[in-house]
Amino acid sequence: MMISLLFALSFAHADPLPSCGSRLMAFNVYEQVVNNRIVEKHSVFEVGDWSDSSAFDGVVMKNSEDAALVLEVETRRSASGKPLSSKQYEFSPWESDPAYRTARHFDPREAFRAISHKGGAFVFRLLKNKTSQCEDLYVIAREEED
Amino acid sequence: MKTFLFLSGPLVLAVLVVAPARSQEIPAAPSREVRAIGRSVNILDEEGDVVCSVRRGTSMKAVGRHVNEEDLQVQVSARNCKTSGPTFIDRTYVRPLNADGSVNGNAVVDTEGLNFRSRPSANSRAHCTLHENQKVQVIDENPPGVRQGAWVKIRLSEPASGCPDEGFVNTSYLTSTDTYQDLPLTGSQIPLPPPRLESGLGCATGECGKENKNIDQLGEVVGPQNLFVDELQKLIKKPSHRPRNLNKARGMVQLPLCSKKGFIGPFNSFHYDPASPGPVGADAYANPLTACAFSSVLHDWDKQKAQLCPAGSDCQIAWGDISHPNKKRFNGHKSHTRGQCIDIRPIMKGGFSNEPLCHRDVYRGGGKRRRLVCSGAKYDRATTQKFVAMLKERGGEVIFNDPSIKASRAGGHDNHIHVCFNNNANSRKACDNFKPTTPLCPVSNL
Repeated sequence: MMISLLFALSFAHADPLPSCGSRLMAFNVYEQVVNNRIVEKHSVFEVGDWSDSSAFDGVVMKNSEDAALVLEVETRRSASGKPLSSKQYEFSPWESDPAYRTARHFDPREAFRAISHKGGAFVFRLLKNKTSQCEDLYVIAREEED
Repeated sequence: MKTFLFLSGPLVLAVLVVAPARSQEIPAAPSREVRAIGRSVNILDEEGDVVCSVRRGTSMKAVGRHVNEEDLQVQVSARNCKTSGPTFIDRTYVRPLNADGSVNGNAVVDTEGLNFRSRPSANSRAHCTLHENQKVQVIDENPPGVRQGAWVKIRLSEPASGCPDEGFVNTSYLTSTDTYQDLPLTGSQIPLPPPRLESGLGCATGECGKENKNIDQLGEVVGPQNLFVDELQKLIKKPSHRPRNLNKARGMVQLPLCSKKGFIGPFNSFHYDPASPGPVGADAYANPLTACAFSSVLHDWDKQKAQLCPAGSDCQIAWGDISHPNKKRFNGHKSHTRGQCIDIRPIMKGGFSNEPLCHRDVYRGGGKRRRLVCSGAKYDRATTQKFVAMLKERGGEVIFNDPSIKASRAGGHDNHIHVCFNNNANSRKACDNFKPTTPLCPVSNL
């Protein structure tokens, strides 16, 4: 009985969290010329690895997601390294697109500043009542030859 | 008596001040002997313009460290380096000398996971990786058969398991342990001017008439639309030329931007992340020849879009970091120091949006490194191939890791094209032949 309980517990612990997939999306806000006028636009796209050429302004999730979800952002010196920092952000309505909620106070440039030029990794994790629902690991890439 | 005191007072004071100097030794100002390690290393003046170049092995006296913590003030005895003001050298390209005249090769790794290779080439096998701040000893500055200054042979004092004692690393990721703290601070930062913003609004609606005048951010008419190119061409012929209506720093000029937030670049191009690091446009400084050749690409691509791009595609050129007026190694870049190299996103299918191509290796099939998140479906390889061909035709040297595209490869260039316009026959020809026929900023919101 005890052995089978330990066996079950060890398996339960080894189960990786599911990917957040498209539940969590990245966005950029920018200017574009439309009909000879410069207008502000935004794009929403899958979160990817971070670099100077693939930076994003923040993250959003659809309004249909649970409003109690919290974003946890963890940074690491390498993909398999220990966490350097970890911070949680609540979601609130996004004025650029009412279909989404945004992690309002999360600024990736600020959050990744310490390691973005050296290379490292970050984890996005969605929490509900302090319990992880899903997570994804991404690389912070250097744009230099090595 | 009153008159005597009035006259003699300063005299007495002067004697009191001067007297100790005669009786005491003035301590010598601290200085260090350093040696150039690059094949040809630029000596700069206080504004960052090139005074001369010195060859590898040239010794010089370092008398100060620049406040930018990247340069050393040096005294160079070479005849062609004589100038009235102080001269500087990038400390990356010198090694301090020991008292016996030998080079001090003590260095630390300044990045995490630096590849420790079997040969001096990015294509060689990596034995293992080195950690940030790991101490190494440079034992050969110029290994045979490689571009000088690019790779060095090092020895590890405490190699980790699986790492040999000796191997090769890219020299860009080593920092001398000597920080020259004994040298006095010197030099000054170049004051950062406001971004050069251009307006062509009037011209776009035909209000400028035949002259096709350009209007700057203050509303001042500054000349015909091709003034920018005229000034670049003058600057290329005569580097001391002071260009009108262009910001200049460290021998570079700022590419004009057409919108307050800096996303709209010349000739309908898109400038991504224009305020990183801020202020807007501080990442857009280019060598004049580079600015001219690259602008010719932007202009011609915009004019030929209908023929080059598939129907329904915006096919817009999105460019990012070039160089910074003050920070040589901004955003961690080590090859964006003199304004010759530009990062550009690959061309994307469909309507343009400021959406980056995911960094994960969509080009390598995705299975070799980690799970594939991005499908790469938006990547327009065929049009990117045409764009790369145009860059190369104008003298650009291209790095991009899509194996289907004819370019050089280098780590970190999976999601963007890295192009350098060095001084070569094709880039000069591209600039000489460049006669813009469309406005620099067809639309602006200034």
